[in-house]
Amino acid sequence: MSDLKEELDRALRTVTVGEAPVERAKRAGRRIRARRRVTLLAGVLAVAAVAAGYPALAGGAAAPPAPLTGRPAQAPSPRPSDMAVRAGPAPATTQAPGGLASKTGEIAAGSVGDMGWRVAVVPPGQKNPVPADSCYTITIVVGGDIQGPCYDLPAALGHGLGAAKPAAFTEFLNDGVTATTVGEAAADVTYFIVNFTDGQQLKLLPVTVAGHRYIAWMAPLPMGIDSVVAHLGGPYSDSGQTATAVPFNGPDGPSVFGLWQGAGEAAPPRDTQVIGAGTTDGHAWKVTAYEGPWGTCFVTDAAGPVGARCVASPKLGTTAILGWGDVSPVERGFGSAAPGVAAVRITLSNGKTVTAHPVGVGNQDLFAFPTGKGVTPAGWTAYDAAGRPVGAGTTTQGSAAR
Amino acid sequence: MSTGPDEEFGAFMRGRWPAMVRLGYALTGDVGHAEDLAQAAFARAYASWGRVRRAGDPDAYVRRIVINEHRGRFRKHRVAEELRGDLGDAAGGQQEHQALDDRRALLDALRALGPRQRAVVVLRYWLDLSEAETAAALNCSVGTVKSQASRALATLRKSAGLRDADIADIVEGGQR
Repeated sequence: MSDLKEELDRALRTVTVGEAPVERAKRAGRRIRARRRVTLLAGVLAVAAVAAGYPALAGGAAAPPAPLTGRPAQAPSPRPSDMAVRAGPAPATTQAPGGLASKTGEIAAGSVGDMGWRVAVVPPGQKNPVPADSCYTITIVVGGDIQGPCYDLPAALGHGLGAAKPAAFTEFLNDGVTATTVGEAAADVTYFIVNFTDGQQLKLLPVTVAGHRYIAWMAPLPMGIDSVVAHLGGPYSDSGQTATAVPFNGPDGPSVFGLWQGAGEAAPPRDTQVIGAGTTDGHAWKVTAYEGPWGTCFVTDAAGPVGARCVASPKLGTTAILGWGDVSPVERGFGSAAPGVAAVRITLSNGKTVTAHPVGVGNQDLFAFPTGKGVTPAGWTAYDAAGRPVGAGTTTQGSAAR
Repeated sequence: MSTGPDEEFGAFMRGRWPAMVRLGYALTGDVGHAEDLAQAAFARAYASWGRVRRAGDPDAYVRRIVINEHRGRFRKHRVAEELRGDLGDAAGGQQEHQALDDRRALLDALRALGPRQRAVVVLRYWLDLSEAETAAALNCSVGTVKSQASRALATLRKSAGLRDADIADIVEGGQR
């Protein structure tokens, strides 16, 4: 220890310090949490609007772009008493032939510890960010009600329900404390079981608003989701059949869903590879692909993980641009290559080209490439190892040739 | 009996409050500002207490917020800071008064430094951060840390409260 350090230690100990204002700090902390939630809700609305303008994923894609963090599943964390989760249909729901229905739009209500929440769906109308679409609001009850804006629901659900897909979920809203998920359920879903990594479970019944069936839940971020099981049959009849989604979990937030599997179906093998890296506009970036029971997830790192996007990998295997967009401070795209493709040259909207080399990840060949600010991929040409073109396509067509 | 997160946070804040206020004081030279900085840092820690606790080093987390908050305020208000003494009065004999005078002189000298030089001294020589860590904490280059440290030490050298031997010890042994 230098003399200066000792002198400073001694000198600073002479500074008179009052009693710690613990309660004042806690009150300020609660205000920060509440503000964070409201700010985040506004942020997600902006993301959803951006997503609506970007057809980010080709067929089978799962979710719109969002500033998300993602990492592979983490070990279960202990469950303090303030992490108890409860959720169920909103009190105003009634039984109808198609299952539970809500005339007020409130679909679900519950609590995380002693903090209450409600989720409502607003049918298309002038109050919505996109009047032709439904939107949803999240109300957090901390003393009084704090209601966020109404998010464009179809945009938040990405491509929504596909054929044989029991549910589509919004990506999580990461406020650093809790996460809210809203899902749209297919007509044949009886109920869902959400299994959290700490062993807690939620049983959720879809509630119909304006002809669509929805569920919602809120949970503390650290818990993570182990799986969501859809019990199939009909609104009031469980056939015993199930479909299970294992999400790609991140300790700091989002669980991203890419793949639903029926009982007995083999999950894709787990593998992780960096599929592209470089420096663009002075910013280092890297895209890592994670394959596993969640499908295939692409995580972009640019001064920290900034985006997780997942697709159902069994639908891959062809050459296609799967997604692109801003993951500030870089913009990048990623895609899959057919077997035998050694390079993919991507033509960008500004006329420039970039070449990416596919990397084997589990059963897939995947690649990533930088685009540049405001630039989007327009088309691609695939080449074999001998440099011969073996396929071409555009981002609106998806894959072509091979 | 296990304690809940709220009680745990309360115990942590009570235990670390004096240290964080003193860090704030070393950075700002003002007890009022120091308490503001510390309270803001603890409030932020409480807002994310679950994660802070799991990260395993809440003390480092709060200290980093104090430094960042100070840096943010310094950036927003690039003006000469109003400096005033907040030392408690000491009762005692002549030796104690002399010691207190020495400490007061050192703190006066520290307060007389510019905000960035003062921050460099506090982080580099009081918190024992490396040049690279200090640069990262203050969002500047290592070269800036070196030059600011050199000027700050030269200023302190002139002060009555710091002996030449102390400076030599810092310059020769304090580089990491």
